[in-house]
Amino acid sequence: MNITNLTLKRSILVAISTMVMSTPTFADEYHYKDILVGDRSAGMGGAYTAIADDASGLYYNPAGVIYGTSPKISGSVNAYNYKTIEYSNINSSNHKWQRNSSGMVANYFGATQPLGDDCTVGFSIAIPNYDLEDQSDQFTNFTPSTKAQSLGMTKIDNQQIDFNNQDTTTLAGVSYATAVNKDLSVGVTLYGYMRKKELTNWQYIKATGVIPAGQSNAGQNALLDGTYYQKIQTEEFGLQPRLGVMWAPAPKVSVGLMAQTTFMLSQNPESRENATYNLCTESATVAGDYSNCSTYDNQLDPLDLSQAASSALQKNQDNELPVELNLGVAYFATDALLYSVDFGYASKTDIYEATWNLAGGVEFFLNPAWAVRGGVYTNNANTKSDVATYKQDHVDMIGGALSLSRYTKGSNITVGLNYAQGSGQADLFNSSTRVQNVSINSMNLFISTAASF
Amino acid sequence: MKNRPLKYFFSLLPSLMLVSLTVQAAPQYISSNKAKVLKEPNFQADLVAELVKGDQVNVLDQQGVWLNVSVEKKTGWVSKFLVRETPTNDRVTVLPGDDQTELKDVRRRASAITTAAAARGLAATARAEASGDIVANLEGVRYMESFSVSSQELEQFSQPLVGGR
Amino acid sequence: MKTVWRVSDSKLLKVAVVVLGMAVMSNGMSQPEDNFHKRLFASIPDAPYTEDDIETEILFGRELASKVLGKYQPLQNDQLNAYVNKVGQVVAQMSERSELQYHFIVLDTDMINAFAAPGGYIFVTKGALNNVEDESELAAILAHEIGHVELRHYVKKVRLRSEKGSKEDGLGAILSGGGRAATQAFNEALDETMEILFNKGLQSKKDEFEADRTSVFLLANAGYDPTALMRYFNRIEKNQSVQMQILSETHPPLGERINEMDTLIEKNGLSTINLAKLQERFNEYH
Repeated sequence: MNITNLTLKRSILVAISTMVMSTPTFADEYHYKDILVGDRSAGMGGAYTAIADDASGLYYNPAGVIYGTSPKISGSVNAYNYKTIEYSNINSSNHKWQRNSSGMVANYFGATQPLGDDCTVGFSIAIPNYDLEDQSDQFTNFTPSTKAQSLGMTKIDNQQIDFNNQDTTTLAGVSYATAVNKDLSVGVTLYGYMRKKELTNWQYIKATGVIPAGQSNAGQNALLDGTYYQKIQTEEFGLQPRLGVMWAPAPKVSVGLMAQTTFMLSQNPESRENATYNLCTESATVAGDYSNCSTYDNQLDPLDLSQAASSALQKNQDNELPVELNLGVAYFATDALLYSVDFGYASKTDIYEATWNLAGGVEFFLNPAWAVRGGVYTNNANTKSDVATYKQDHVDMIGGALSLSRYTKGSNITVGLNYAQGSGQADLFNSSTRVQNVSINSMNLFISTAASF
Repeated sequence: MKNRPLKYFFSLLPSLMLVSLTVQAAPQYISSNKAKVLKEPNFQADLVAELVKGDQVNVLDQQGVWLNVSVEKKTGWVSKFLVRETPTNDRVTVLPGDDQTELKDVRRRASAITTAAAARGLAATARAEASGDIVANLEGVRYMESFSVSSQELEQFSQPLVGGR
Repeated sequence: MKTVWRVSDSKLLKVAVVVLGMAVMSNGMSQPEDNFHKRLFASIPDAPYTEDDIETEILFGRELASKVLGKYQPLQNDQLNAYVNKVGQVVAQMSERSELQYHFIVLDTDMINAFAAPGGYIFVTKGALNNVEDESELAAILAHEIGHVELRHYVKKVRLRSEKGSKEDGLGAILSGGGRAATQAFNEALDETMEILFNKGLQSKKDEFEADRTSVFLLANAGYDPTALMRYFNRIEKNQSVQMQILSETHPPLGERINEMDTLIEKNGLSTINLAKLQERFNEYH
């Protein structure tokens, strides 16, 4: 017996879709400080705009590298990165969805070379963002939401979620810095920008219920299973110039200003979704016979079953990166003690909200061979906080950094830890009535070396 | 709960700083062949003691290029250029001497050092030709090394320097 | 405006205490001189030089000396050479590198210059001596060269260490990709040093000023008038002849060196002291 009642199908499918689908989250670059780049800078919470006097300076403020006294090469390896994102308030069964991200990435390499007394050139590669999120959850035998129950569903037998998001941003480019006078220097870094993102979201659901009254086959048991598949991807190429200025208004005080913007040369943001559902009703005459099934392909729009949605790749809105301004002040109290504070502002674009961040760091040399660094930094979300309306995760984070360096005459080795955490909200299911709470814990254990000649 | 990690970071920093207390001045050593300890930190002050290479001094204070030291119950000032934190090496010579072992050692060490050059296929003599058209003048070096001064001669020669003019 | 950064009063107080504590502690520490960006690791002394390193240096210096003497013959004047050697040994007695046996000789050329080879081989030209007026000036020239040897300027420039490298730097070197060589091929180093001595110079004002500074204090410690080098420079500064060519091409301008030394002498109150010049003895031998 076929179920031809449009309303019924719609009802059940609405129940399914609102449970299974998570909102096409395209703009996943929600934070600007997920990875602190560089060796010395990472230990100081990234408060480096007014320091920037070694190879890491090419990234934070190219004007600062003029203060290095010998050619320097710095390599930095993010030894181990581990992040967990936990979504709660998924449903009334108190499920939690957890996405974990872990991996190793070499997040910075830079080399500087002074040319004469007045200028310095450099080259650097940075990976300021590296996401490798995985979710593999399975939930069995739980009660569906109230709304789903009102549509006849009595139990969800099995829900499987396989989610994978890889999103890497790479910058590579050259720098040039020159002294204007003994207190002022300017510098520019021209980065080639590349981002590659690929997100796949696959879900399977199997539910049982009873066809509600007023429908054909009312009172019959029904079985629903289906899979949902979502892919979001983009490849972006662009140019990201960074212009920096460094000024010493007073002895031992340094003020740095760095501005950057990204010109997209090419991008192809696209996504694709597909869902297939089988709805089977139990035969009225033969108990246990669920052979009466209907299959629904491409039913992404539960309100318009006559029109199957295309599962071809669809173009999404172009990404637009903001202009970022960083202002830093550093106080070089002695050659053993250094304080630094950074304020960063990223402008509003069609995609992102205006976002500010703050960081503070300290460097202290216990003796010429050992230095310890500490820092605190914010990592705020570049999305609107009204998650129910704007559907994008909004989690503001705060982090701390600690590192230890061992120096020899021409090189040093650093071991450090960044730990950040935050709580916020998300609307995974495009529902304006239930938003999820999100808790993020992120840890980077980094090891790096630098050498000078 | 939210801010606990930050509290840890804040408290860690000062405790780390307390670890670095000022290092006690360790004894230091005369590194020059001779060193005069003077009553005051100036080159024409009265002599307190005359030390030789390897003598141990206790550094009490520093004033510019002078170190206030104490040695065997006496205190005075010595130029900081004559003092080093670690005892200095004994006289090192690699000249072919009358000592049989020294000669053997010299040959062995020489071959260790010239390995890199030898790897380039250059023999010891050919090396000289390699750098431009300058021929090594080993006889000149021996002539240079032949001028030696005994300590009495040096003492005598230095006489006019004591007291100036 | 998002209010994420909520700081409670007690936490603010804790931060203030930490910052204040650091400021108090920092007062006892050394202050950077010119570039305040310089950090304390810059004062790490070189990895201790082993006997092997010193032997390498002497063997290298000897080879280099033979080349210098191949380029400029030694002056065949035993009496003058013996005198110059004695003056040199008087100064060398105060050298902090007492493990070295210094040697001194006069080169038979009218060029006005002096050279040092690692390991303690010091050369002064006949031309230079012709512009010297007293023994303290001769001592000053030799002392400047001793300074180059003491401070290992040439050794460091060509990175000359023995094959057995220092273990300390090993880990850092390996992890940073082997950024420095433990040894230099001998002939490359020789060629490079000959280039430095006769064509390019050390190309470091800092190194030359350091050697000048060493000259001042070596002289004072030995009993010679510490202003001698300055007096010598003042005299030859006016000399525009071709004999000055190599010196001016391989060193910073004499005017700058004079100013540096003048400042140094004033700062240390050395202009008023009355130490030996020994003009008469110099004239006996020259």
